[in-house]
Amino acid sequence: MTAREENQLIDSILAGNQDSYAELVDHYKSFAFTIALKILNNRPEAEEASQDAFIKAFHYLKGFNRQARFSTWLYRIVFNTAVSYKRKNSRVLSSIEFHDSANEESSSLEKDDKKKFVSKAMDQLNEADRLAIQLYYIKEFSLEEVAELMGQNMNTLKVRIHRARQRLADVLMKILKEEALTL
Amino acid sequence: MIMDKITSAQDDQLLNYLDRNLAGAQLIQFEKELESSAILKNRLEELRSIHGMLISSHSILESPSPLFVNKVMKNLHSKSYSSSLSPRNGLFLLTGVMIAAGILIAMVGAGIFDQMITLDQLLPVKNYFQQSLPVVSINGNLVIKVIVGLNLVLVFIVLDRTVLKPFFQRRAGMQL
Repeated sequence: MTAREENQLIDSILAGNQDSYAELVDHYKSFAFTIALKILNNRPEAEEASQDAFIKAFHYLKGFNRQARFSTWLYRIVFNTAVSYKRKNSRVLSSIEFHDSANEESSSLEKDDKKKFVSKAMDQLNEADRLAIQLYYIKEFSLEEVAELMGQNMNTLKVRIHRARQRLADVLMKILKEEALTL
Repeated sequence: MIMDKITSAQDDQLLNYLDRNLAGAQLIQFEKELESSAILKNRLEELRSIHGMLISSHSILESPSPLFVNKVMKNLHSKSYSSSLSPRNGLFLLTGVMIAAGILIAMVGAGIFDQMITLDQLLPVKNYFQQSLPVVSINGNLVIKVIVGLNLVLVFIVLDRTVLKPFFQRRAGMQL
């Protein structure tokens, strides 16, 4: 969707045509859901958070500054909503590390060895590094967009992603060596 | 140059190379370095494989449930996000502003601010300077009345944001 088409839809929504918003939701739902899922690691929660973000975006639409892309603005709302969901849940379930166990479970079921090793190596990164890497590798996301999304300076984020990949490479090589020894 | 370990700066260069962030003379120079160093080449292959794995495992967009759009559209008016104040905080603020306005009105009514004051009375500069300040009299009553007026405007805004607007939005939502 081009910026012009987006603006036309936004004009139509602001004029009271809610069906146009359904079009926007349909277009961006996968991106929004993927961002929320990367943060929350839990499909039902990610679905709820991304839906909530779309509802928030609808109510804040009047205040949207058209100098920025709608997608960037929306993804920032999704990011903030998902982070606040995560905070809320970690307060409630602070003693249960359900994300990690869910990850391990799904990893062990993954047929693709590469995916399994990457996932294992990713678990060794801290949360901010892992999230930066995951968002950076989502299709079509540039470094600028990820920086804006995470509310970080671009250079800081670049360094973070570099360091995280270096660490990933080191951890992965270690895992592969261990796997080779057990064979 | 003989190397047995990759430096952090070289790692950065390798990642920039993979991200296609090197160009022109920088790129040519780095490719020359790569050609001459087996360690650098090995590290490039390690990083390239990580890069490939990350692309293949994270570039795929996840799909939400088929009813995603319907659920969003159905709940579009179920919550109010237009007020940045929570109802609880709003009511606290409203009570505080109303109490402050009430106290000021009572003080104005009691005639506490009726007398005119000068800058000399207001500021204790006499203790430090021998010269007196120019005679500017301030009508305390008027100043307090303006403050009370501003307080009342604030009361109406907070009342609208925390009570009236959410109430009418909820009612409009129920009628839809």
